[in-house]
Amino acid sequence: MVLLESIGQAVMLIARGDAEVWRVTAVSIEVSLLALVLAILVGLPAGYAVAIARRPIASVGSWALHTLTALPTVVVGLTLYFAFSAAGPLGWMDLLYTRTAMVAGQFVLALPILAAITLTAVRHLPSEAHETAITLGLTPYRRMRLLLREARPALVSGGLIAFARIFTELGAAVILGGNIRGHTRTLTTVIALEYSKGDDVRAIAMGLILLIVALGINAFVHGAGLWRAAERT
Amino acid sequence: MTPIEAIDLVVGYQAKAVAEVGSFRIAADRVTAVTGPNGSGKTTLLKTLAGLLAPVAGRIAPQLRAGAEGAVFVHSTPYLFAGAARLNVQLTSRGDDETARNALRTLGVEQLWNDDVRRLSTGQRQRVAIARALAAVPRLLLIDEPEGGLDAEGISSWRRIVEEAVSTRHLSIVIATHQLSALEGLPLNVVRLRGDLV
Repeated sequence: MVLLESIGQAVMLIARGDAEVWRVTAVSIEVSLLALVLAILVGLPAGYAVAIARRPIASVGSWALHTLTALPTVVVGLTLYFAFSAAGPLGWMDLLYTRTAMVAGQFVLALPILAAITLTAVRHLPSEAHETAITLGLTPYRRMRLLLREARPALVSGGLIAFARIFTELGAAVILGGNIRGHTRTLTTVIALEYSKGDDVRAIAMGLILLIVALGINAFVHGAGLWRAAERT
Repeated sequence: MTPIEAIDLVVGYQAKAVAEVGSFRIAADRVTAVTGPNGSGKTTLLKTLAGLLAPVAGRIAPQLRAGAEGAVFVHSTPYLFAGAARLNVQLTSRGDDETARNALRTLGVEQLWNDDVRRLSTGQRQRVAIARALAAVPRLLLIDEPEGGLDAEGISSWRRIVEEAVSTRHLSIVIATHQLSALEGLPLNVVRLRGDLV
């Protein structure tokens, strides 16, 4: 019954164009997309660098990146909280309880996922792909771009997994953002808030909206052909 | 042009020797053919000459860099990067479409310019890969067992390229092959690998 009621309320909230829902959804998307873009910019080159490195960097790097994918969100939130707090080393930046702090937390969560998936995808390209990129005399930067392009299907999948991880996380968002209405309140923090207030129906309704947004983003990625399998020889 | 010399060369992977090749010279006006049974180290030798592998012992003088004015290696089953054939050739033509088109034309596959590499036949892929290597304008072109993927037309155009290369392009060519007969009539140096190290 609770589920049916929640679905009904989710539909009503969307149909009504509830301002609070739109605001919370927009903040969630803005923070997660920005964190994802930053994590892509750093994670793909980092994963590639480890993939083409020699031992022991390659094995230690792989071990470290895959271990960091299991970072608990609360631990990331707390660590950055202490870093950004007034007495912390980054306290001078005055970022605590801002969206920027939330982006930083989600960036830390997404980075190892993207780097680890890039590492695996690049390492498992055929050896002929690596050798061809070298023998054609391409610069290291062009080689990286070319081989990352070859690994595109796995990287798009990695991007979606990383986005799912940070879009649905609560620990870092609530610790670093503080769940400030109209400012740092996101879909996950509002779910936790409604649950703590005992409004299970609204909490689940917001959860359904979160799922719908995730569905929409996945549909966009598929529709745009970003997941199209790369050609192979 | 100074010939490329292999001196007391032993090739292999990391420290493990695959073939004791010895010394030989790669002259610009001749085709160097590398023959030997399966597993005798033909591919390993070509990859070493291309700089993709370090010699286990001995040396290559001069050791060319990869790409333009250096050495380019073409696999027996070439890897083409995703997209149209032109994208592959443009990788090495440095944005010069005329060079890219000329390279494809030389191999008789200019009509594949916009074709998706996934839809190419084995022979077409081989020719696009060789065109890609030629577009880099290397000094040394190393081709691993090209006859496997080439059809009759491909072998014919391939012979034309080799003839043209040795006479006008000042391009040194090394070919690993099981079929010396396919190179009959060309000025040849032959490096025979015995395969007794593997």
